[in-house]
Amino acid sequence: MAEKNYYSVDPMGKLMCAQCKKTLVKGKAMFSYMGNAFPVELPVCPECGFVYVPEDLAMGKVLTVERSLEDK
Amino acid sequence: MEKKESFLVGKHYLMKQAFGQDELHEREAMCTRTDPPPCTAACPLGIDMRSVCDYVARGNYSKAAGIIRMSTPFLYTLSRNCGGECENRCTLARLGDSVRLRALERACAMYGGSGAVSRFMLPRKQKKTAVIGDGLFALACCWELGKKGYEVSWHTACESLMEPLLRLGIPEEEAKADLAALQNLRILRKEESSLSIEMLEKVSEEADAVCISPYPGLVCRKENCFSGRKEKGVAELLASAKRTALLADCFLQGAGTPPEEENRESRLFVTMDGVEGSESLLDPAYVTKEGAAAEAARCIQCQCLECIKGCVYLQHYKRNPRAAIREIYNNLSIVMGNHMANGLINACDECGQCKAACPNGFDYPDVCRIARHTMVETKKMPPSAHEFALLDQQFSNGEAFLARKQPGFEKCRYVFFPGCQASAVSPDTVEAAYRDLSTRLEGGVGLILGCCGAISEWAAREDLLADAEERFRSAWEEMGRPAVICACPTCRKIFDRYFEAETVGIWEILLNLGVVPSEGRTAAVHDACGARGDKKTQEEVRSLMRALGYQVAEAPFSGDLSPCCGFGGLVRYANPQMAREKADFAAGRADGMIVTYCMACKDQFARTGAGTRHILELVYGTGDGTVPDLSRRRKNRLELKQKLLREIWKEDMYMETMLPVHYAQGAMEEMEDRMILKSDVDAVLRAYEESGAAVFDQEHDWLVTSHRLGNVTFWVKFRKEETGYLIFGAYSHRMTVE
Repeated sequence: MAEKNYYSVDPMGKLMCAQCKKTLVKGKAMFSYMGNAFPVELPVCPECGFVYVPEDLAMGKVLTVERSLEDK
Repeated sequence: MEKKESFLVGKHYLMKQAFGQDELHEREAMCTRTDPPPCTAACPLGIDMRSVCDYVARGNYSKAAGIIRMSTPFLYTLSRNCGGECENRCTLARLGDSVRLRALERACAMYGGSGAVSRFMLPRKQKKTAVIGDGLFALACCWELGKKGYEVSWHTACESLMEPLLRLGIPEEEAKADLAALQNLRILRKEESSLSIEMLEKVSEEADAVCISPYPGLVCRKENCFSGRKEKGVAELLASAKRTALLADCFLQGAGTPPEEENRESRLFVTMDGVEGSESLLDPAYVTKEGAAAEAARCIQCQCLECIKGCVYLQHYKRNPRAAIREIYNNLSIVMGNHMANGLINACDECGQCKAACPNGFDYPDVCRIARHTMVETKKMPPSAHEFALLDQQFSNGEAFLARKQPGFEKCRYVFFPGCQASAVSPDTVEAAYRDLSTRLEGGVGLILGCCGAISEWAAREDLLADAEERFRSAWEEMGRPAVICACPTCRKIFDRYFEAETVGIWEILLNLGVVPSEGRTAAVHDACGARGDKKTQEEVRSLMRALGYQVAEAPFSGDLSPCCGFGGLVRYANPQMAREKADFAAGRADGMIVTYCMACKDQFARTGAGTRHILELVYGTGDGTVPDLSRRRKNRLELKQKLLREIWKEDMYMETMLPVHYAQGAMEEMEDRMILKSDVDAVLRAYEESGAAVFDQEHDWLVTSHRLGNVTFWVKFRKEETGYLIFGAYSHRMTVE
């Protein structure tokens, strides 16, 4: 499956992992729902791998995709 | 209903039809909305006079003429000779003058007859046809066969196509206009000196099919000969020609004999709200453009709106139940692709108002119920639709569940079951009612706080319904199988449907025990969907209102036609916007206070800002107009249980304390919209305390952490302060992320 960007990672580096004190970087992550998986790029902690799902993404594109998958 | 089993299609797709096509057609046939109106049904040619009126009223005479010409090209001939049976059957004739449809027909010819004639023709066919006769019947047969693509030999003594029309007294100009549709058809006039049996024999040998005019009455028994019926009226004669040509066409195509004409009585139920009888505005002897338009505007455009007029859901989706069940049927039949009607199915409150309103009892909610069951069975039910509500049922029958006998009684004669919504919305009312019942009733009154299982029934989760039933049953048997006093008509309906317990409405008990009247006020009663068809309950509630000193005002759509408040069918969870629209409509029916006898209705109405009370709140002077949020609704149930246990049964109940949190302005409202509970936030923060995993958002100067609870990942935006956590907001998603 072609990789799609649903979210552009904050370029200003204003997100930091609270545990590792490292700035989050663009990293690969995988969204899965109802047997479907989507590779995405999300802000990830380079140290511990914590994946951050920003609010506008969760309540926007993610919600829309969830709804469409539920109706498949 | 025919029981259908699910089966696997290919390797992965679980498939199950809701019901067969025969049942779909049977269900559809109960709705008469697609039946022709009385005028069309009465017309031998089935002319759509309703549409004619619509166009004439708008002054569009050429379109109106076009409607008539769809049935016959002989517009002028018909308009001068029509018997006007449509006019006799006009619905308005019941109240006053019928719409002068004959005059309107004439107006169509006068003001719209010169427009272009549509000459849609089927491709040419090789077989040859013949028509024998001199009159309008023969001419009409020529047109019917010609437009079907046949070459027609017209054996006649007439000297021209126009002759039959001129003989009827039609002016030449009008006859020409009527014959315009016959131009370009392959009609070959074969002049015969006289029409005889010998000629008929010969023609029937040459042509593949022959249509014979009933005048002068030649008869041929060959299978390719079709004789028309003698008719007095012009419309009937044209209809006879249509039928004769159809028989010939079917014969030529080997399609068998088409069924006889349908019954010309209309089944269409006509909604007559606000329709009053009126006098005709048109003098048939003096038909003007303006006069005809005004007369056509009197047409009420007969249609049945019984199910739609009180249902916000059907209005919102712009559907009628007949069309919707086909959509639902198709939705359930597809194996792959988008299930476009899932939203439609889950937005129905299954309240039964449309069924009660339908003159034929069309059971749309039943189809939605079957559909939901099918979706659950084939794993096609959107998981997000009902999960919150089902977890709420689990909470009601878990942490918040309480079953106790009245202190001092081994067995109870009654058990009070207020329902999960009453404990959530108005816990003080539940307490007051139980104290009252256990004081004034003899034989002991037990108490069960829990959910009857209606939630899982709406969600089509039979497994969870069985759990709820089991939970109730064991408590009920322990109490000695008492009669169940229900304070919610839906709970009572569920118990009556699935349970052998004797049930009684609390209104009946209170009427017998007596209530204290207050100062007289007027209020409207909103009938709960659980009491639809239950006149006794509806009347008892009104009697109780009167006993309380109230004057009962009847709002529109009351009794069995009452609309849903928006909670039914779990619409409040599956489609909050729809639930709000329903609540607005239902609450807006009354000017003043609206009294409910279902706590979910009261809660829904209070959300709209309407002045509303549950009838038990009037009895006990409890409750108010505030709307508890989702978290408060849970807390209310727990606190009620704790209070009753402590005060009545002298038992302690441990309640978990939450981490100290404060909410920033707007955060709680946003959580409510997103159906996120304070307990969810608490669980996320506890997980954070354990792991320390969070993101620091430097721009907003807050931390964001997450935790997955069941099928949902919750994120909380917070700042840690001395007095606890300050919450800026929360959001969630169902997808997993790795």
